[in-house]
Amino acid sequence: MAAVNLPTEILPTHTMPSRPPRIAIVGGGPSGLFVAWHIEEQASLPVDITIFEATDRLGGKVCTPQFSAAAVRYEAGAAELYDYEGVGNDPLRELIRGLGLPTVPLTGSAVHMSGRRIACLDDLENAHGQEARDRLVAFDTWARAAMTPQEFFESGCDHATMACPPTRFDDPLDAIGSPVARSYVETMIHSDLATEPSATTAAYGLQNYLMTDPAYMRLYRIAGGNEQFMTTLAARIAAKVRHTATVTAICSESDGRFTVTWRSADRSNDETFDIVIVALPVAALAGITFRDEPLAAAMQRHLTHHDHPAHYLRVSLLIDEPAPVVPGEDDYIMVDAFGGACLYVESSRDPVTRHGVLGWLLGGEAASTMASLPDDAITAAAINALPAPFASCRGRVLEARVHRWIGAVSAVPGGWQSLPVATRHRPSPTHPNLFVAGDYLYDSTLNGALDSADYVAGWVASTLAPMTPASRHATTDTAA
Amino acid sequence: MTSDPRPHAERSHDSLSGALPAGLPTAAAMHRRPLAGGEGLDLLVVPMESPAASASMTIDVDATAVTVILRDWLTAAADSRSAVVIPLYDCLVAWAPGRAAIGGPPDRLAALEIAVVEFATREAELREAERRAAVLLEAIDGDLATDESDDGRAREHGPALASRYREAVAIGRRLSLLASAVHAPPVHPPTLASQVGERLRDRTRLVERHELARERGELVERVAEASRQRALELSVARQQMGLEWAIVVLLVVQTAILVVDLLSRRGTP
Amino acid sequence: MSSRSPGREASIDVLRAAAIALMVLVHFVENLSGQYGGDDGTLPGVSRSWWLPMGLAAPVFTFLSGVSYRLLCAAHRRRGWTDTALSKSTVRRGFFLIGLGFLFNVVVWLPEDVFNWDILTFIGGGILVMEVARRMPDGVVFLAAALVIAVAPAMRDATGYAEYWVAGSYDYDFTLADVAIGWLVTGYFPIFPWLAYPLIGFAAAPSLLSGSWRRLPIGIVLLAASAMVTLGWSALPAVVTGGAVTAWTMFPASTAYVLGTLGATWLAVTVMHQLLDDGDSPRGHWLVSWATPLSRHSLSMYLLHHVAHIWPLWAYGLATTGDARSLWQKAIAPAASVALAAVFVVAAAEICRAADRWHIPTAESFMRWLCD
Repeated sequence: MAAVNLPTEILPTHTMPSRPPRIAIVGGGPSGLFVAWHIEEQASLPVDITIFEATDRLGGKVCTPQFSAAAVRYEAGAAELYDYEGVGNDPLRELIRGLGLPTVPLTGSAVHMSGRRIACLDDLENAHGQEARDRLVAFDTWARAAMTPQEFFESGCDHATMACPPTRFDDPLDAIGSPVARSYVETMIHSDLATEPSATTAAYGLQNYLMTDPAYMRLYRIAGGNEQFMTTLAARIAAKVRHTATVTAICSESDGRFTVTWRSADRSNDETFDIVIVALPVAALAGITFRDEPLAAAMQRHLTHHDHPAHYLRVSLLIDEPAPVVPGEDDYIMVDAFGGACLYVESSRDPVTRHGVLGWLLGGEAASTMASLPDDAITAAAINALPAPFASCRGRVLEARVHRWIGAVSAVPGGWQSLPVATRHRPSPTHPNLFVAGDYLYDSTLNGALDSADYVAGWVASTLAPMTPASRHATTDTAA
Repeated sequence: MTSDPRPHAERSHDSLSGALPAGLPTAAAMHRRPLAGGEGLDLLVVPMESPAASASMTIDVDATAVTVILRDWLTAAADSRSAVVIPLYDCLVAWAPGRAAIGGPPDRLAALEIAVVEFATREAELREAERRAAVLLEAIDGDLATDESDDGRAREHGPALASRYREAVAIGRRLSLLASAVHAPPVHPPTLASQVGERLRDRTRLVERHELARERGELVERVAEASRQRALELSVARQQMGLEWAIVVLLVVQTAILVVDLLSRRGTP
Repeated sequence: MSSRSPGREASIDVLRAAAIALMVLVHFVENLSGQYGGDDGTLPGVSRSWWLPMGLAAPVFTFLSGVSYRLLCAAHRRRGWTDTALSKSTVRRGFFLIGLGFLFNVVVWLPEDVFNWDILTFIGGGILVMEVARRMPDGVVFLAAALVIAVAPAMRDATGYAEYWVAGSYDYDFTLADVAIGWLVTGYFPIFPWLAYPLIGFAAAPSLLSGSWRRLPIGIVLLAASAMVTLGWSALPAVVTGGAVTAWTMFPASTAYVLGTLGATWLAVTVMHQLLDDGDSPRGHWLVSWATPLSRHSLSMYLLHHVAHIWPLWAYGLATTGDARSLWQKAIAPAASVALAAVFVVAAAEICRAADRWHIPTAESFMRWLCD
């Protein structure tokens, strides 16, 4: 998405070692895998990459496990991916296509509010009158004027401009003037926002509203489970992977290199790397100690700027028979329960199964509050909240799984005040070989994670290239 | 557009109740709607009262029985393979070339009818363009053979090629006019009519069909144009060749006269 | 009809069979009785108008050789023949007919008649010319034919045509000049103007066989032109008349004769095509079934009819008077000649039918074996 222009004046000038440079990637989630993939793709020299992953699996919040009661897959994390090809170049879509993974579009337009289904303007008018409809249309018109598809597409880039006011998202919501229309908008986007309107920017809120318009973006998933994307990508990466290896500290050495301290099975280890890329969510990044004082201070500033945690909660229900198809053939519906949640109808995702899967996606305060409850209580609440078309499923739940994604994304991706892309990815100017990458730097999506990884990889590849004027120019172009 | 926004109740006198399939609610009625190109659309309107639909979240009419009846009615149409049945919340839309049925609460029928008639109009136009493009496509092999021949058939074939070229251009023009409707982006926020129209468009693969018809038309246009060009070149070449041969013949005759004159008994003193 | 090969036109077969029959009649009466012409012993003229149709045999035959060649080319192309293969076959056929013509002149007539340029050598030469003509646009072929007709009288005038003809027979010296001029102008069937027939037949074939009456007026125009030339004969200079005594002569083929026979042939082909070539017409069935074998073996019949009446004439004359030519043109009465001709034609048709049925080799099959 974001075009990466590498400023040549900040390229590192120190001499790289003659052996293959050692690169540490902290975090085996999507960002870490994307960085490894792009470095291997772009580097003109052999590189020695090590990925540190705290768990026993790669892929982070792109996760498609199976139920125990039946061999049925469900999406425990990211349920959908975003397709920007209607507006411009979509590197994520191209990567998935390049990996040979089949995709399936996802559609849904129904919002369930107060026991009524609002699937279109006609429904809104029938249920709540002409004024509610007019207010919604007025808000929609304003939203689309405030952020064009191209601006939506370029959000996060240095040169991005938009007419969207620099306020919190509740300001434009207050301006709607109709409680029903406002509730409709909030219900529609709350679970994707993963936070409350008052805790995020108008621009991010508008992005989440406008993504319901196919002119801005379309949704899709990967046939056979989204995690296939991660496993397929991981299989094509030559990097060394240290599973259940939690990085606890990073220390800057006098020669410009870094010592990474990591713990595995109660044993602490140190390894030295030429380049370190931290590809963790903000919450996990806070758990790493940076021992060099200037570096620690820079990382603290980075954390402070980006510390706007947003939360998800996934509750997946295995039903003993295929769940009823939503009469609009929608793949998901929005429900005003839990402050606004999304209910995915996953039965149709696996054509051979004889079971149904209903997946709740809760976001924001509701997710944060409920996450502290035991799984049984969460499950009971999720079953009770099933809307009328799925009422018959309440007594037929075979198994329920809860996945907590607390602080997994940013409520204000990029921060309240957007930083230059270069500063975002290199928190400390005095430590040119320490990078951060992650979706929280862009838009809290996989597309943003890939953009971030592409930027960092381009920089690293330039660093590794022989520093001749000609190659510098070529490398800069390649990175761009 | 050709759609008629009048509510269902105002046109009940148009209904052809005799042709109604059995088993439908008594309020069901059928209308004949003229479409572009002389085609007509038999539109079956089935009001389905569903108090629960408008009052509560139990929004879905159990339309299974009606669906079966409508599907049977559609498959009796000429091209039943193209039939689509779309349940949309508390509404039901079924369509096949020349036939369509809408079912739902009475206050939704007008919007459904707008969407279905508008779609049927565009589909009929596209189908007509597809048919004409297919006819032209069949003649392509002959055109290519003509193009390859050197026995003057290409020149004789000229009027047919010109006619085919004009027809291909005409098809292209109609498809161009249709393009804005076929490729229109989804309406946002959606209305019931837009949702029905977009689902019908997607399910009948209108965009792909439009692209295919356009490609076929362009192919015929290219071939006809190239063949005409070839015929023209052949014609010019033949004219030039005729002139050259005429000169050769005159020279040969002149030579023959000369030879006869030289060899004749009178020619030699 | 059902056994007809594709591309074979019934009208062509009927007309060619008719030409063969006319030729047989002409040759029998001429060679056995010599009583077809005027009282003064000149060639047939307007004074014997009843004999006029007999002059159509050679024009129809040569015209149809052009039409047939056009059909043959089309048939060979349909079978996938290459242009080179077609050229080789055409040239072989041309030289075969020329060689056969020389042999025929020597064997049937006399060795000194070898270069009298009879119809076989002419058709052979015509085929060689058509090998070139088939590459020309049809308009140029028509132009060539018109030029051939137009310059023929002037050439005859330049060569002194009458000096080569003694008592109605072609007489030449064995010199290169006479042989060449004989082929071009003064022989029995010289290139000028006889080449016009196959050329026009070749170029007009697609139009004539298109199933349309639209081309019919051209034949009438040709006849009218012939009539006008005949009427204005006395006013025409020698370079135009070519030194011919009367307006309508076959030897030499006068301009009026060429135009008239072309017009008549044109009309005949057009009309017969309309009558006979419309599928399995019952109207033409018996006629076509009779004519087709005769047409298919026209070359053999040409050779056979000469052998059938010339050799007995030579043998009987030699046996009775010691002079082979003693009975030339006075062997039997004209009526008997006509009767013999009729018998021969009927017998020839049966022979041809038998040849087809029993696959007996004929001159045509030998030509195809050698040339195709």
